Amino acid sequence: MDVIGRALSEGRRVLSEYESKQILRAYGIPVTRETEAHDMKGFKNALNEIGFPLVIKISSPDVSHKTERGLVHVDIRNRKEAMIAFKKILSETKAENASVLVQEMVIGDRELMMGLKRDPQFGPCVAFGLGGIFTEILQDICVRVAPIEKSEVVRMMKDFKAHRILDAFRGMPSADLDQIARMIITVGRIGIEEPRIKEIDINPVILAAGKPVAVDALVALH
Amino acid sequence: MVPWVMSKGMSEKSIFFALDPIFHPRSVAVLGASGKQGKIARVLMDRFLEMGFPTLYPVNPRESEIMGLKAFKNVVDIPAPVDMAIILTPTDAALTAVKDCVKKKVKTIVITTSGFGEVGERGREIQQEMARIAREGGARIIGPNCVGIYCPSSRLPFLCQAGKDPGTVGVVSQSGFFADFLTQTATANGIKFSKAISCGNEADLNAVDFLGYLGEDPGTELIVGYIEGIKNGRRFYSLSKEISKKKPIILWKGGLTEAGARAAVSHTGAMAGSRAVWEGAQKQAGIVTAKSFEEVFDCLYAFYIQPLPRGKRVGIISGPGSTAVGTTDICLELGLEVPRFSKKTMARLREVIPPVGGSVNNPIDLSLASLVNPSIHRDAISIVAQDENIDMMLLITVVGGEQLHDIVLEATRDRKTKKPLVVTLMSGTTQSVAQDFPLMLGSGISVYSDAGRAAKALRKLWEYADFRANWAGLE
Repeated sequence: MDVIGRALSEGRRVLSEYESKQILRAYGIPVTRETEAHDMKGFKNALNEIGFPLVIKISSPDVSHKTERGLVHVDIRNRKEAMIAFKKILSETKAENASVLVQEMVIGDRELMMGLKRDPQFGPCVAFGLGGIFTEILQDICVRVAPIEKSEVVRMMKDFKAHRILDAFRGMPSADLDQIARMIITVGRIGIEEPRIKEIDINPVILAAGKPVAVDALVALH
Repeated sequence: MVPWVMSKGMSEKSIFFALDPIFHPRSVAVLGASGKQGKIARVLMDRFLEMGFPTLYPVNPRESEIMGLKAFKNVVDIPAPVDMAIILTPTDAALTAVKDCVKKKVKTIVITTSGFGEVGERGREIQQEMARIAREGGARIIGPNCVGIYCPSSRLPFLCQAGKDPGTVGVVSQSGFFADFLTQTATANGIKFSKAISCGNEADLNAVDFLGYLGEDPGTELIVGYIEGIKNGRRFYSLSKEISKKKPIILWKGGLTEAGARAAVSHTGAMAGSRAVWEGAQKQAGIVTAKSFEEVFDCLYAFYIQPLPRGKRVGIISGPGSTAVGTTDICLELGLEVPRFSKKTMARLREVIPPVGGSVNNPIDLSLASLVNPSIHRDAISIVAQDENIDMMLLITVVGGEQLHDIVLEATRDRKTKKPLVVTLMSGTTQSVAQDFPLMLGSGISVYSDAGRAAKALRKLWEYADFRANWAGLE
């Protein structure tokens, strides 16, 4: 059964980060390399598979405010740090067999966001703009109706206040605009092709040497 | 609510043919007609007679003659076919009036009477009942609670004094005041209209139906609209986008700040509220947006008169130096460019502008010489118009009246390449400026009382030109 079907059959309306990214990856959106571990053995294998430095997070569709609750540990550089993080997450969640997500550490200073919503009048719409922890404070986003044409996405990428964050500056290369454009168009396409999905948040999309990677994601279902 | 003719699969072209008869009635009955001063019905009768509409039937159960015309007790008593009925009766008589019109086989029923869907649930039920009765009788309803249809080529009047001569601007409005005031005011400034529709509560036909109609109407080259709420945003969006590829839509969308904060799971859902979505959809559809009545007029006077620019490079020609500098700032903030002139342009400008106090660079400061010798305005416009680096021009002047009128017309008469020119009038008192407006606009000069507004008009022209160029390159 597919990820969405399984979640719905379990009565869930929100997918876990891991599940959300499986959907995005299937549509060709670049996401972090990551694997889910359900026990110590799996965890150790995951560390080998992903390689240091890496990120360890709780993996659960029910847990929100992961960062605020100390359930996200970034820039883990060796096995010792990894084991400490793993134990902290287990003790914080007080769960006997909580799953963790072991994820490559994407390094970049620029954070974007993109998302999908269904407007009661316009149907599936895509938002794009400044991401990271200031997303909600600055609300620097622009919206377009899906499907988004190639010519329109070029205009859209210049339609938020901080759009020059995509240019080369302070030694950072300019963003891969073609890839960002493809991602925005794809988010709209998901909205058209997958009616079971209600909303999508991809935040942050980190620019790693200019290449966009979806680092965190949330898919909500109807 | 009643999408029975605008059903799925029906092209907008067929909507044009379905709705076009509405604008060309051969006979009109006015239900609730009156000759008494101070009544709306009297004002409408006056307008019909002024326009010289050929076949008008007043209907009033208590009158036998109104303003020299034979009056009928009931619309069914009229001994000839009636294409359009306008209902101005009291609210409680309107439903019966609709039934009578259907019995008479009237094709278009305009219901001006208010007190229906806009006041409550009971009113909504009555207007739905009206739509149902009309549907069964093969009639269309416009309204209730509207000013109806203005079509000068058919001599169909509005309540206010809109012009008699047909033109190229089409208006669609969910506000009766907007349609009435816009046509009246712009008429006084030389703008002529093809059609205007005030669609009120939209019991049957709605603003998007008429937007589609105006989009297909060969007599309409520019559309102005006021919209508060629509039922099908997607239809509005795709329709507007197709129309914008052919003709501009200047739209004032009311109610943008309406709280769209519903229970949203994601941040996207919470942030992309109705305002953000509307703004995005309008940009994507190439709509020229206005946020006030003033902006609607500012856009109208630019799009009605000016050609579309090829780019966003502005040449500023100013009498006052300070305003030249400030206006340059405004242009840059609006995303326009104020580039250096070519060497050739500067050399030619040096020949006409005195060296003391003036500047031949962009922005041009004509200095006091512009007052002493106003003809240098004309020379500067002609020279700048020929600069390859300039796409549009903004003139700021303290000269006004006939003098400015003649200068601008002379300067623009024999221009080889047509480039937009907007004029900011700073002459003397506001009173004299007010008189200058109809003079300039009536002669095809886009004039503004403030340079910021003039610059914004240029920005709107460029934005739309950019949309058109973008699509022209793809199709």
